[in-house]
Amino acid sequence: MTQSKKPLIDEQGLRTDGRTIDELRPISITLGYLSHADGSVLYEQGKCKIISAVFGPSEVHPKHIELPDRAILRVRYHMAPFSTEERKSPAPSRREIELSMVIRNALEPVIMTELFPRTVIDIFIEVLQADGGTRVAGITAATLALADAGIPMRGLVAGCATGKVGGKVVVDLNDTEDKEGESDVPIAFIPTLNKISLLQMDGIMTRDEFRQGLSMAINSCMKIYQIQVNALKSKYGQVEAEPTEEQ
Amino acid sequence: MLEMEDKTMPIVIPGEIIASEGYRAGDNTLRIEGSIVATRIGIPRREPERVSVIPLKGFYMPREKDLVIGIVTEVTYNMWKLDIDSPYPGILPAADVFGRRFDPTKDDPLRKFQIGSVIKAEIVAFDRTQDPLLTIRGQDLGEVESGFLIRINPSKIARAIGRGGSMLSKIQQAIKSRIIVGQNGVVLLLTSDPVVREKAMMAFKLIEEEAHTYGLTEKVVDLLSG
Repeated sequence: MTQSKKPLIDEQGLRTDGRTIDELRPISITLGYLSHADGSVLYEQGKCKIISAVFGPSEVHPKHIELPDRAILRVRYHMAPFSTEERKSPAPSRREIELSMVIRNALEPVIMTELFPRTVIDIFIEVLQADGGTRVAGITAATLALADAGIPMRGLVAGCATGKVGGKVVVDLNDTEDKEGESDVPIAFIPTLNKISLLQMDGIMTRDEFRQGLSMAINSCMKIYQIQVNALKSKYGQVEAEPTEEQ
Repeated sequence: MLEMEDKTMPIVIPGEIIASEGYRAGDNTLRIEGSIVATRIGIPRREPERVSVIPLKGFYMPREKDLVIGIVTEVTYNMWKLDIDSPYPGILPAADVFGRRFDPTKDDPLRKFQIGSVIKAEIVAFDRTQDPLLTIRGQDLGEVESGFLIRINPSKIARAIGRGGSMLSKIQQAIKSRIIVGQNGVVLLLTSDPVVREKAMMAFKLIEEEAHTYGLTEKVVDLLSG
């Protein structure tokens, strides 16, 4: 890893990639990216590229892990060996196992698991190219894949990080800012329920900086949420006429 | 039914508010703080007292009295387990097939259906706490001896049948072959002609892709006659 000579925030207040402090990286969403999965998406946020696929609800194997009153969620967050600057071992690391759990906890409040007792919903998040903020981008992507699979949900989850970089509070940190900045705070927000389902913090921020960062992150989550809504709606275009007729 | 008269309708997504006061929450909706929100991607349907969402994509949830087409995946001494393309496997008890005199010491379920057998069955009971119970007692039910199977998304089945069976009868007329549609998204084509199969597969693929568009019946008829 080469130390960047550029300051993290330059004289004009712009960041290493030319963004302002509250600007998101460009987002692109391709729904139904995979044909075998029940729901899938290719999610790109700046240089981050993530594929998420959802299977289920389906029968649980091994049988003894099923729950009598709700579906279990199995989340696998994984970074491809070629996703980082240096080759990453493909074996699941301690970090990936923890992030899988953290993402599951962030998604669980919206998924109506109680409708499908004794089943399992499998969520795969495969990071193809990492550039900071992959856990929150993974949550955003997994939500889209779940909606694409037709799994009943109370709302969508949008994820965005905030943090302190070069003395300024910013949103949507990239890899350089994540590594060289003072702190990183990933947040997942559920706009319809007005609830935060993920909040982690790494580094140091004052209480005021944290409050400012939190409100900036929630604003950014709302922007991401709007992009999610538009992507889901435009997948089917305008629906014409009565689509279904019962027998 | 105001919405139904429009030719275009908005798509709703999970968490979107579709109604507030004065309605009951129907299928695929949920009441959150006084308003009714959609829980799946679909088209809202407003009835005088109830709002519901017709999903655009989804999986098959068993319902009593549904006709399903399943494939045997497991044979035990007293039942067959069927893959019915649903979160829950279908259970066909041996007593249903052999009758009341079924005796596990004398009757061998393997003699009747083996793994891979295709069976048309009706759902007798299902309540999510137990796997759906199937029966083959009824007209036109039982093992499928020949034909082709086509799978489409279960949420498109209603469209493939059409109002009062209109779509299905048009396809049957065009390809001159009988079609049996399982509510679980499995379509059985009673023909041995591969050309007819290709045509029917194209027709069902079109229905699956354009289920939410206007004038689909004409498109399907054009496709089959062209």
